[in-house]
Amino acid sequence: MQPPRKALAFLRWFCREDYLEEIEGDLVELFENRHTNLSPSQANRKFTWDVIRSFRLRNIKKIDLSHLVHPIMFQHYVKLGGRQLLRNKAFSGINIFGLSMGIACCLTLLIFVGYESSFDNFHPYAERSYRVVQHTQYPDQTLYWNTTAYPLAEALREDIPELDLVTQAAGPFQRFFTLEKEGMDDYKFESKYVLFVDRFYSEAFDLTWIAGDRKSAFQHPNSIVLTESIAQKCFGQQVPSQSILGKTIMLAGKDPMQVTGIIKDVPGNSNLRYEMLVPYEFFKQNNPYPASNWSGNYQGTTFVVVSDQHRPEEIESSISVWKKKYLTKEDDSRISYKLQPLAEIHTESLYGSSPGSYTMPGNMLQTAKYVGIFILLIAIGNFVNLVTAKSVIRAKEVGIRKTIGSTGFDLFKQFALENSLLVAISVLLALAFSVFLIGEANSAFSIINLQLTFHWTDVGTIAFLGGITSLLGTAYPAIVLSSFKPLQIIKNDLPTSGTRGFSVRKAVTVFQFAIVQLFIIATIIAAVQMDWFRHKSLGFTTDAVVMLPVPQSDKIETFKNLLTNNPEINDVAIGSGPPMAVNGFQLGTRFRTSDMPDTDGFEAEMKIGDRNYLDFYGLELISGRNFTGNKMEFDEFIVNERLLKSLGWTPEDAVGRKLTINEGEATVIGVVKDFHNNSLQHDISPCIILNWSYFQDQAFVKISNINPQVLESLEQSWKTSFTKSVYKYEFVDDSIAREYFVETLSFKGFTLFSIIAVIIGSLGLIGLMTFITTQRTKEVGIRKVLGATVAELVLFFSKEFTVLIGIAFLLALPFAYFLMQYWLEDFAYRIEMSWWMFLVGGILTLIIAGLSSGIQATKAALANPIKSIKTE
Amino acid sequence: MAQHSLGEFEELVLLMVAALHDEAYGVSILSGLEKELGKSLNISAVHVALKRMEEKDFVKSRFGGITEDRGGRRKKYYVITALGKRVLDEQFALRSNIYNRIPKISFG
Repeated sequence: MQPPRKALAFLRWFCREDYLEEIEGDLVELFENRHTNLSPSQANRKFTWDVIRSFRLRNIKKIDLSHLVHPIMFQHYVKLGGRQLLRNKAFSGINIFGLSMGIACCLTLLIFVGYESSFDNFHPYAERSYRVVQHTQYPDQTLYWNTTAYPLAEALREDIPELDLVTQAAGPFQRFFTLEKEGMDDYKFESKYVLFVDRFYSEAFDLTWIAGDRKSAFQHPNSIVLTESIAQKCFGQQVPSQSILGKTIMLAGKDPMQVTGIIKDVPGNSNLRYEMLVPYEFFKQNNPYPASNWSGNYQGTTFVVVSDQHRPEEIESSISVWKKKYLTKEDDSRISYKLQPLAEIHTESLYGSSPGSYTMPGNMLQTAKYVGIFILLIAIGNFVNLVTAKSVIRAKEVGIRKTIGSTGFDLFKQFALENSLLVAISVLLALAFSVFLIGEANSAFSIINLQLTFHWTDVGTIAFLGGITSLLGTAYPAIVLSSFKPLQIIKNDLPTSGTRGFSVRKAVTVFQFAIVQLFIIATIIAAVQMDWFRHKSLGFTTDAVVMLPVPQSDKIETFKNLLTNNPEINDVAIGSGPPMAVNGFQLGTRFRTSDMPDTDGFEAEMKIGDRNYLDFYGLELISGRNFTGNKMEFDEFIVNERLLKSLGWTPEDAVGRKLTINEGEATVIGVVKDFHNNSLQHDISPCIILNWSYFQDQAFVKISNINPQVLESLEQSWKTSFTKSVYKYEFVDDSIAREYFVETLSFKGFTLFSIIAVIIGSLGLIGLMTFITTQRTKEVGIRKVLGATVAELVLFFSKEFTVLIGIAFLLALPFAYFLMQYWLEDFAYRIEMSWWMFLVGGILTLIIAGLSSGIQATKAALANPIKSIKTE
Repeated sequence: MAQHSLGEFEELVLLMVAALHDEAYGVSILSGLEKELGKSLNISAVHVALKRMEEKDFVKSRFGGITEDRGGRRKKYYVITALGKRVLDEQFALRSNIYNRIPKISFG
């Protein structure tokens, strides 16, 4: 008649001593009673239940935490840890440096990802704000627009009561301003970000008013709201904001605009770019046609705030029924409106970037996050490997401590504390590193207005990363160390090889190098793709071409004449833009043959070029002829091959046929070979080139030898010809390069981070090799005495790593393949991956690993055997 | 009143301690209560109530002699203190006071 032993043991284990006798006694007495009255099994069960019920906080032994780290022992551990650090300076240096780099990279990437995912989340109704996007379905393709027809906003506001707010912005557009200054020349400036907004805009979005307020600012059409930096640019740093209110700025030299408000600059993490806000009424008055036209799509962005009782899907479906009220029958069947959450605008590339901003595809952010985590893992792997390896040296210390009376837990505490010391130093260093990295990143990407900063929440992130690192990096080595058996150690039976520690180390090394190889292979493939990208023939030449605006078409001839006098300027052409659309500027139109009904037709790009345009850019005519003279009205088209494909024409029979576009009808006089009129992420689209003075607003100048004098004289000629705008120029190459900003960014990221991964990985190898060779100094000596050559010894040491790296390579291969397949899918024009890219990656890793481990191995192999045998 | 608070179950246990006088220990209190209430209770609930009241000085305890049964464990006997008695009295007076104020007519 014994109560269940396990339950009793449990009770004795948890119960506080002063309660135990009473509780145990009562429970046993109850058990005995039940044993006689009920069945033994029932008594057993009830006893166990009683024990479980007695397991309460009140009855549990008080845990004495004070002995966990005794102050004196704590001091002792810290001191010892410090000494260990200083004794192995190189070793600690490698360890700390590697780890802090890993943490810094991870932190910076996480901050970057956090920043990019925080776009526009600060607006008052961010949760239920949506952008209205438009899908236009054509027989051969669907077009995705992030803008809509202008009248949509007002109609939605009138007809759909489920929307709390509907607001619309036109632009941002580029505008030219003059400011009269007393006693001085007029101050002229240009802004690319003039946004026309209705009065609901300031309700829906967060604007911080420094002067003026949202109620009064948009009352009169001829008002203008300036951002702080523009206000300072115009009126000077010191002028108080209130005094700027009421001043007048001339827009485009003819419209006086009164300053009605000063607001804070747009934060970097916003898709809505503006430098100046002008009431939408003004835009409407000056652009009555687009503002009232339902069939065109002229850069009007519509935002809605859905009432919190309704789901966006409901609104979408009610809009799909409602839109026929305004759209023509054809448009109604073609166009559908969707609501895109505000939070997705920045990460969804389907609709293109919002005017003036950029998109950061969501999968890139995912990749960035994983890159950061992987680098941190490599660094932690290093740390674990190095610390475990080093620990064997301290086996004797462990043995002695254990004999004196240290428990395994004491040793665990000691080593965990020592390692945490390393981690703490690394974290501090990492903080400094990432501040530097963030500064670099901000200045490198000023083009996209990157504004990464440290927030208090990031301290949480770094504490978390440090915690993870300490946990992963200190627990395992501490367990290994504290588990050494004193007898083994004193017998000098050191657990150098064949123990569990060794195999874990192997696994960690394989894992590390699998990731390192993944990075290297990814970088190689990305490099090949980017190189191909950069050198891919675009179908036209852009070398040393400068692009300038020509604001007054009647002065173009004057300007051209001035330029021809300059011997260093080779050629000049006039048009609407370079062959490849840059800066988001493209003229769209629709084309059809005259026998097709009005409502049919295909989308095309309309490009304006003078008679020199084709020759200037080296565009190749495959049939027909070039333009001959300059005309005010166009009557001739030159089209590309892609356009013929839509109509099923051949280059030969296309010439002489009539084609109708939105702007009018004309004859096709030539067919030009396909060139990349869109950036390489996108396919070539149908293109119509017109010689039409109406849109000729850019001059292209080919310079034989770029130097400051030429640019200076160019500016002079420009200023003598044109008076109504500000001078600016841009190299076409640069603007094309900007189209690949995101790709370049990801490529640079790949490169940078794979270099870092390689460095951290090699540092780990060096450290590990140092350790192994010192461990085996004697063995090396004996081998040498027996006749081993240096080469044999180096090979002997490197053999193991070669095998490990081989395994890592096989592991990395499939991951690299699928990852890069995925990455390449984003490019319409992409390379094929081939086996050599992977092989080079593998060999490169092997070489790097061989070099870093070989140095140490050679050093050991070269040592004098007499000395090494003598060491003890 | 705050330090003299007495829960419903505590009150029952305290009453039982007082009723059993010198014979009150865990198991006897439990069986006494089970008999009175007509339902089974868990011993740990009794223990907790006793410990709480001991902290509040409503009861005091002492160990009995070594026993043959119950695994040789000593019994811990509880007796009610003067304070405990007073709290019981107050509780009783409070209840009967209010109880007496119930108008007879309403249940006529």
